Amino acid sequence: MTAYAQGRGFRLAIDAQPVRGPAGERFGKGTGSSMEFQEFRDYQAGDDLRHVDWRAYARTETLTTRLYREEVAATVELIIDGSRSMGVFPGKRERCHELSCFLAGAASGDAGLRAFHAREALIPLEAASLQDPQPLSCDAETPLSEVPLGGSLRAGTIRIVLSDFLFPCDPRALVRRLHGRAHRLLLLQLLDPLELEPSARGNLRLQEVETGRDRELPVDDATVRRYRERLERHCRSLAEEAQRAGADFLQVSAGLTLEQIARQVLSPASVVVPR
Amino acid sequence: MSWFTQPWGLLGLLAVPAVVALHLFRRRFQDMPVAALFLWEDAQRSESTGRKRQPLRRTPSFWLEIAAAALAGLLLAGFDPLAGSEAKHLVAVLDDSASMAHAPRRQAVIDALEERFAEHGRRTRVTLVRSGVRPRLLCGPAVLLPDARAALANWQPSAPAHLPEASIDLARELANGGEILYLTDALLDDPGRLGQEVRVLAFGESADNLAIADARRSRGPDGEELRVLVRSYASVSMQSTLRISSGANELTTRQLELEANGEQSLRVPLPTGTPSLTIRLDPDALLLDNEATLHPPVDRRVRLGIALDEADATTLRAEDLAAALPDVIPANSLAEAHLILAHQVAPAPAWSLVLPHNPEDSAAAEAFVRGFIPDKAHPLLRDLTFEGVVWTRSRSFELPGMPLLSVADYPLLTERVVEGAAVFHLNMVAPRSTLALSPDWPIFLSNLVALRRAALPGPRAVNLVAGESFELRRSGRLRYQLSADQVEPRELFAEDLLQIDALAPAAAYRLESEDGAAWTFAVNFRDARESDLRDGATDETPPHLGGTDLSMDRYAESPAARILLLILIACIAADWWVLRGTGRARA
Repeated sequence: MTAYAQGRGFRLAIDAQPVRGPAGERFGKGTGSSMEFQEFRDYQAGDDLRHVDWRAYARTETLTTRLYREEVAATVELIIDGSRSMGVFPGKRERCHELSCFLAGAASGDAGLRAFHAREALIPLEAASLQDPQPLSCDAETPLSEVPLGGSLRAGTIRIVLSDFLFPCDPRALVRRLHGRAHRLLLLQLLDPLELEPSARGNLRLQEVETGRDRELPVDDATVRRYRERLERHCRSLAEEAQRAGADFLQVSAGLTLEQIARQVLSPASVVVPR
Repeated sequence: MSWFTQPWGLLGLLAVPAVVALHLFRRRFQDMPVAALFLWEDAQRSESTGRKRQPLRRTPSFWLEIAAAALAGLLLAGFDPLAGSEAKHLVAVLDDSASMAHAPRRQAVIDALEERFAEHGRRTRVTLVRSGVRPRLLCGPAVLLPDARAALANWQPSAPAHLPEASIDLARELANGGEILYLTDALLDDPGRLGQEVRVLAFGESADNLAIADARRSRGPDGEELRVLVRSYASVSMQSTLRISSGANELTTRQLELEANGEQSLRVPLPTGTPSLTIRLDPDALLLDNEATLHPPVDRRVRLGIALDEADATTLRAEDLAAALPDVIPANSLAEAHLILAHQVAPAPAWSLVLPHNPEDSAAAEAFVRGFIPDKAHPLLRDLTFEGVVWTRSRSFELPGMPLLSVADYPLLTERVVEGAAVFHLNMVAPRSTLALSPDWPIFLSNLVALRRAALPGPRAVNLVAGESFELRRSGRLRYQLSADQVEPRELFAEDLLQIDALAPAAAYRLESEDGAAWTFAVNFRDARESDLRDGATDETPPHLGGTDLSMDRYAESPAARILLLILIACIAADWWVLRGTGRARA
């Protein structure tokens, strides 16, 4: 079963109050034609006469229009980091693609999906590319923090950013930038097990895949411990800023299978639920 | 016994701990791609304090480099584990000159060889060459150590001064390219001339010495006498006692006191019929030249007969000259003469010098003043010049035989052998020639007498000096037996002339022929260059290799060296391959 097919067994469960989008099961922010009453307001020319509260008119002789919550189909924007760091480990690259396909599958049917491959710019992805088992390329030298976002993204969408977020940045600025005018933002951090717990020891020449910079370090347990501490601080600051902005932040290990990710990470966090 | 050709090369093994230290302290950086370098930067700052010892990583590369360093050290040291199982061949040339008989020098040589024996192990094969004009093997080729030691214990140097080249050549053939030890007591001006494989060890402890420089018995007009010359080779005045004895009878004793470098001679009249004499000095640094033995000299006088016309005899002054020549006596009769000067050939075994009569007719003679063509190689014409000589020949004189002297197309002197006796025809009309007035004539006669004396039967001399040959002339092919104290008996064969070379000094050699005849002769040592022990030197001159160690050259060709070299190359290649593979894997 492909990751996309696996995703079809789930649906996105991100709590959303979308205000725009085609009609669907999710409620828009504005009034609509659903049966769920939202509020009253004075009649305005062009209002549907069927929604005039005639009873109130009989009592008050004032035309009052009943407004109902609008039912819209949510738009999901999936931004997949295409920088080299996502392909530094084969397992990480593979899991990134599987997760992208899974989320695309989960979003299919219920919501509109707009997928982007974040390379030097946001490259729109065809739906078919997320059903293709061939992983997306991860060879962009531009980190996600420097990819221009304007023009491609819409407001009021559910925005899922899949990245390792392993680049130096101001977390607050990054979250704000990624959030933009999205309705909800989910930062999904995918890290390889070797990034979470490096096993290499000895004299290492660390080469940053995106910039080409390198450092020669004698790596021992203390060095790795300091690395982990910095990684935790980095991730924690991202999570805190995301929380502060009303966004969600989830960390996923590429060492887990896709099914484990779905059931042990995404479902408990109410990102997806089984259909 | 050592497995190492160059033990100092073992210092090369220090490369092993050096490699370990490098692995402990070096930074061999493995490439590792990371997504976020900034997360590691803190760690880099903590390392910037300096290089620290790292845990030793026992990687294949580490072991290969250790192995390569160890192999390189072993190669430098000339490691050859097979060397212990091979019997090494030690070839040494012992300077057999008499000066080496000085006890400290001889002992130093033996000690040096014992050291070599110890180094090479008990399975060493030894070849010892005694130097000399005719080098001989003291032991060998390639004998076992016990045999070599036994031979060395009996080694008594006694040869006169000589050059070592012939001995080195013999040793070189036996060494088959290996190193040759030359043990001597003097430094060579140019050791390299002996060959690049020759290591010269000199053990020349200086010493003062007195020597019998000369001793001889001679017959004088008043009977026989002994003449002895004693010389000092000392830097200080020395005293000694000279004892002359014959058998158990001591004839005379003289107290000698010689100044530095001085000499003292004495003459001792000997009674007629005195048998063998022994002359002795008190023992000193060199015993060999303190003693001489003189046997009664053999009678080698040539009896000269003259059967010439009176005019010719007067002109040629033959009798006067014969009296002046040593060991020439007039023959009582022509029948007992050894050499006859006559106008016709004498019967054998007498030798004849035949001259023509003086022709009455002047036309029958022909004179020459130049253009003489002598056979200079013939001993009869040795030292003759014929300068200023007016030579008149007889036109009618016949000269059979081989020409020895000619003028134009006319032979003036010929030689032939008649019944075993030499016959010389000399076409010289004495009264009309000036040869007899020139210095050439006594020389000619002397040469003739010497030739005749040499051809006399019996031993040429019985009191020899070391280095001289013993010669015995007898008719027919005979077998002889030579013996002497401390000399291994020798069996010899000779026809007409027996010649024995390289005789060691000995007081009494006894030579017996198969027909029962016997002779006794002595070989006395007499060589001022060997008696003087003051100029010895002690040093070691390594093989003259021109910057290349011969032993290492030989080692480089050995199977062990080649195997080690191959393994070393394999280790280096494997290390390179391992590191290259590691680099690729990281990439």
